[in-house]
Amino acid sequence: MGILVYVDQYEGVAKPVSWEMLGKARELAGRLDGQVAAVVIGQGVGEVAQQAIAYGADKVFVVDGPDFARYRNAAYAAAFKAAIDAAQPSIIFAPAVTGARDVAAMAAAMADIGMAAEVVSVDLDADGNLVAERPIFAGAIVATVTFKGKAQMATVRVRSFPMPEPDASRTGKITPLEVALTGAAAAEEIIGFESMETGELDVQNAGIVVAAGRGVKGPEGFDPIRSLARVLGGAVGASRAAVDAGWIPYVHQIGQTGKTVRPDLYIAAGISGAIQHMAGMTGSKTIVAINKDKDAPIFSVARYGIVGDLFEVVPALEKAFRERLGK
Amino acid sequence: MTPCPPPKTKFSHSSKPPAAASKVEFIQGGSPAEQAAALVDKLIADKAI
Repeated sequence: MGILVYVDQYEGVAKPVSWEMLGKARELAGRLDGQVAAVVIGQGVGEVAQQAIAYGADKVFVVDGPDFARYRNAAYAAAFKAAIDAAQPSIIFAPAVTGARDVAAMAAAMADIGMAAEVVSVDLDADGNLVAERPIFAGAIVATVTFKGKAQMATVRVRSFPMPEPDASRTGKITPLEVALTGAAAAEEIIGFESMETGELDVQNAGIVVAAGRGVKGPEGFDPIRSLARVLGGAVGASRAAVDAGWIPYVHQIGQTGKTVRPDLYIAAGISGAIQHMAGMTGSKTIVAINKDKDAPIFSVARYGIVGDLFEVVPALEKAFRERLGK
Repeated sequence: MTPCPPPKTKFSHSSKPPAAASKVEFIQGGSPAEQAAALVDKLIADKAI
């Protein structure tokens, strides 16, 4: 009874959700008396494999080479499937993030394994089988999913599990896997790659998110939002309305058609609270809403609310945080 | 037509998500600066930051 974790990396840096999943896998493996394996796919990812051991893996399968230098769905799915075949796990976790959730789905289909997507909680039943919880209908309902078959796969949303402490003294085995690409995986070639990264903190990995929507009225309206986020060490988020208006890049979009976030603190300024937006942020621990309209739906999910003009309240908040936090 | 394979997962049950611990508390009265200061105090007291 083993657990396999898909370690998602970008340019040799693992996404934190990978370690969160390894921590949970370590906990479950202890209850199953089983081992934890990880798979790392990329080029020059030996350091990531070592880190996976420190975060809880007993064994790491590494698919390393120029064919895997950049994410490609079919190639990465073939590599993931090869790791599943090698590890023969009973439980498999992969991150529910761009560039991994599709790989997991494809590998699950190739391996004929049942998969629960966008999971936020997992446990074991009395027989040691995986039981997963996932929000459906934009978070209005939580579905409990069980599995048929020997293996069970779940893609896991970021910050669903606590970040474990790495233990550099842990030892484990690193096993290179040779994967020969065929069919669609071999037929495609990346001829260029342009990152959409803005250099700002990724909203999905941030402990604090300051988000804004149509209420900022224009791209310059995000200036006080960014300023507050900087003081708090947080990330800037946005509603679809602001992204569609061209005021801020899509990488900041939170909601059903954007990213799902689960920060400790979410400050929503000038966001009315369309259900599509709230589907991406109601997992936040503490939600603060600032809106001129006291009947705005965002207040229904908020812990604290201020009815007012964000252009007055947000700078005042920044000043108050600076004074209290000594920044 | 190829028959659809049997599903490998099952919705064993569904439930409403846990309700928020408490309803929204509006920070009312005073200037924006006073409201902001009161909010920050509450967030610090809650260990939200």
